[in-house]
Amino acid sequence: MSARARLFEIDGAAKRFGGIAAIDGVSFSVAENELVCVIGPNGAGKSTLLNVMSGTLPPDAGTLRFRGESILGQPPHAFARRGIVRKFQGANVFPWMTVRESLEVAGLGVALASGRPPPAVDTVLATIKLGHQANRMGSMCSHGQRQWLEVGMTLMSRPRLLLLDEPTAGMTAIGTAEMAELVLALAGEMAVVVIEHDMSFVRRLACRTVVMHQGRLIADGSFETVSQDPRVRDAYLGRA
Amino acid sequence: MSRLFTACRLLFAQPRLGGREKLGVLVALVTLALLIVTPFAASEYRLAQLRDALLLALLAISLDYLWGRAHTLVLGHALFFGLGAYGMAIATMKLGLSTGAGIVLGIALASALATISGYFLLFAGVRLHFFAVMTMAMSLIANQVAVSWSSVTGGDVGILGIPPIEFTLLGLRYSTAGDLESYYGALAVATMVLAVMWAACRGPYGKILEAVGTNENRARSLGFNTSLHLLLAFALAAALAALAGALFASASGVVAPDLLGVIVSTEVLIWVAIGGRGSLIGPVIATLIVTQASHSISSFSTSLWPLILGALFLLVVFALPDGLASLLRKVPEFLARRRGSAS
Repeated sequence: MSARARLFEIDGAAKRFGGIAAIDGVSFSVAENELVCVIGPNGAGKSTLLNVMSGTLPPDAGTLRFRGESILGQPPHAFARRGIVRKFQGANVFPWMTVRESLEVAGLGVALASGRPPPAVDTVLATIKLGHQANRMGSMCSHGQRQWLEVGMTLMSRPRLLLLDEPTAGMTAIGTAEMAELVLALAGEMAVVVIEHDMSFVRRLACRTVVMHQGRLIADGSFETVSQDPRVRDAYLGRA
Repeated sequence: MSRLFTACRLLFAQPRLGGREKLGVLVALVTLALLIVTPFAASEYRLAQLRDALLLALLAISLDYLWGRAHTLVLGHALFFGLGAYGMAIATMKLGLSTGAGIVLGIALASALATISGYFLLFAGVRLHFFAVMTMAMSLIANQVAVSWSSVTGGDVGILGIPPIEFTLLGLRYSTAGDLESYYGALAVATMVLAVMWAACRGPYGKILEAVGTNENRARSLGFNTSLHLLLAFALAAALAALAGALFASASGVVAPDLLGVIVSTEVLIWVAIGGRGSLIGPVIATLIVTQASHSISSFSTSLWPLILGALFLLVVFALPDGLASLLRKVPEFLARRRGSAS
């Protein structure tokens, strides 16, 4: 954890689905403009953690604080209006709107509540490199384009904490490299939490890395440090 | 105040007219022109039928706003139409109030019921067919209340003798007692409502409704209070349906429990489906055509019409799933393809 001001804190968060503890006593914090990767094997609880952090799922136990203020129990739209905006796992866009319309609408949720106009659509289109596809329907875009579009939609909400759930899933190697570039650039302007399976992508980001296994946080440090951690190796490869 | 102004500017900004929209506007203007000259060619009886059809078109617009734009199906939309009609009838015939007060009472009853029931349903996460069935249940209950509470509603017979709307504006006296005034009054209200709803929904506000209706999770995570958006749309659609009901009651002079029932709810669904969900002008034209066809065919065989309507509905579902309004897109595409293959 750096010396920068704490933006988001999650403390002792737990979420159970029937008899399964998806996350169990997870605590960590994210600083202003910090980039954090959350990794872990399938079923580690990463997406549930992101659902809790974005207000999509209320935790069964624990606290959530944003800029020192408790946000526990607030609905997802209130999280977004505070600046906690998420990208879903898989591309989740508006299928019957063009890329431009999707971005225009995406900016209105927060803008209507704050009274502050959304960012210029053309700027975000240039950022996500979809200017040439602006009039294409969301349903007609390729999977990779939809991934970029969804990232663009989150940027239209002027996030302070951007939560990205597997932003490179299904992308080409070039697309993955471009996404890494974008995430690194965004991290100077906002805090970014990335959930990712692609270790080459995480290595490229070279940022603080949090490792989850069976709903618990088992390591927290630089990517180089956690990749040498025997508990992390055990979690990914299993005990010999 | 400035925040409200900014919100309205963001919500109702008017984009440039697209090619298909221009075609839609042209169709609307031609329809309006035909309806303006119709009284010169139609009998009084036919004019009264067309006036009723125009008021029912208002009901279709309100359902299209909710189903076509916000993707929220209701199976009991006649509930609000009937409440508007009974509001007008009770205000004028039981309470001795003016027709203006009748319109206000009808709209207040319908929008209050929609707001209260919608709050408990929508904020509890009731959506899709669950919501649709709940509205159908509400409509059935209201129908039963109208039959049973005869001291207020007139029971099975309903309430007769509802007066026409009369007012003076700029020194000119207007009364819907005359066939022509009544017809042009209905045409003016239907045109105004259609124009306002079209202008409101063609820009960002319409896109927000679509976002909320088609991908609520995504919209919610972008800062939209989706339940509130759906509740406002439900209450506004109810108010609009009630306005149609109040005007219909005054025009026809009678209300009965049927106005709240399943048959009217189903008919309006069919008009919207045939016209094309979300197009607004499509359901208006479909209402006019289908109701007039209904009168013409029923005049020589009452049992034939439901069969024809069912067949027409099936035909549209299979051949034109997006309704007649989709022809505005398909015909130019077809012509362009033919021109391309010819050259």
